[in-house]
Amino acid sequence: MPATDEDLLRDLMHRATGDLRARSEITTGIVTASRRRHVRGRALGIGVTGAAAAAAVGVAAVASSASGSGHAARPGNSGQAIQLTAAQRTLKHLSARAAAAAAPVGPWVKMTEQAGGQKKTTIIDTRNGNVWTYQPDAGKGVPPVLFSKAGMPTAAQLAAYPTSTASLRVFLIRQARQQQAQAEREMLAQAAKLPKRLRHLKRITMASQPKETSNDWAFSQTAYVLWNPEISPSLRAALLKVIAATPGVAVNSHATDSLGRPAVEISRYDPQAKYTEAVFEAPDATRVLETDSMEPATPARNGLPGEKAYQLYDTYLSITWSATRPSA
Amino acid sequence: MDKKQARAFEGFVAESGDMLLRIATLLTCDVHIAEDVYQETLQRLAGRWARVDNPRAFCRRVMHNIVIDQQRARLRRPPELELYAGYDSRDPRAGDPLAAVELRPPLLAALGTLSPQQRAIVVLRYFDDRSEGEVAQLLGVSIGTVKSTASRAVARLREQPGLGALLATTDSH
Repeated sequence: MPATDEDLLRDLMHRATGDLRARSEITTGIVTASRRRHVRGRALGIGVTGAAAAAAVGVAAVASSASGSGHAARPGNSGQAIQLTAAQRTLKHLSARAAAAAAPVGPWVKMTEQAGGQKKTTIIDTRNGNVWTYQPDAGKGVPPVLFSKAGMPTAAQLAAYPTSTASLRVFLIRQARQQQAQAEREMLAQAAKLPKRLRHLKRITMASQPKETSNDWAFSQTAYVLWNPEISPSLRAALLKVIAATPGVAVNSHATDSLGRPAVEISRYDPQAKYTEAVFEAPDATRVLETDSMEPATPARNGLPGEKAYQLYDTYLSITWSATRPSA
Repeated sequence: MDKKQARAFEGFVAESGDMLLRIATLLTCDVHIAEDVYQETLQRLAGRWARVDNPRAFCRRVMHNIVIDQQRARLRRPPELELYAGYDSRDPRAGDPLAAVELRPPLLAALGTLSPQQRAIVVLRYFDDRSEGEVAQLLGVSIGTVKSTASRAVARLREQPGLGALLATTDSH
């Protein structure tokens, strides 16, 4: 059988590379590094370590990043964003509205949400920060009920947050940096277990972490805290003012969330991490309806097609307060 | 990335890692640079794991992007290698690691004379066994371009003294 050049080339390429084996340690290093972002993901607690906080509230991130569900494009949300001063005016207005809202009566909070196509119920005891998370349809390997002791900040801890815009901003930035440092320490501890010849992985993965500025931290941390259903009206009002004081924030007051509920979309592009984080605040400024993370489509370059945009969202369906422990 | 995703990711790498590294080697013409590209590719994949529908296709594209970027950034020339003069197809070592080590320098040197685009088309088409349509879609070119580039690239490889000899000697069995 006469072999063509193509067949010979195929054979040659296979034989010339057949001995090459990918080192599994590279994978280990990458998995370790990429879990770091997850660890920081939803870390809210201040009295607990980053890991414990993530173990507790990270369940939201687990479900939200479940495969495939983030791809759905959301229609009808292309309203124009107002920049800067107009955005600030809207945020100040929202802040005033938040401050005027009645304080909820606890100590129990129950929140239902939808993330990655899965429904989930969270029950928080705001006296001690204990959290129960129910996710009946989370799938194999995920327990239907997750309990975390002191996994969320307690009402007392939240009450101790500064209330002036400037000091709250400083406080949040410091909190974010501490959580980040904690997550990095854990990552380094893992990396130290790698064999010596792979230690350079540590340097590479550390160097590839985005270098966020204070403004980046201020926005992302505020967004994380704002999402917390335990937030009091006064803290919510102060958080919205912190956002108003952060450059680069865009506000669209005629947005809708993925369920079509009217919302005020507050978003900011993080130039270091290269994605946009958006919070959909209810127009009455009492709660967050949805949080989004969006990565823009990469334009085609070098004659290659770009990558499509993606979007992940967590939609909060309801938040209710009660004096006794609610049922899931 | 949570635990479950990490397991899926590790599973994918266990299954496709070797092949990806080999593609990277052929695309970069250097085993060591290939390992860096491989690592960088997995890193980008890990960052988007939950959103990637087809990890293998994603890796192919990312590897090609990285290779093009490197080429632009440094205009790195492939290391000059002595071309291997002859190859006996009845060599009992054919297919074993020693043969691979001997075959690699002339093959990579010859591939190094191609443009990154030509190399990508040759590697994806003949090594990774992608159809012309798939290659065209992956690289964002027309099927006609894939066909003509592939045939030009193969002709060019044939002209390379080291590789031409290899192809000729293998042909005669």
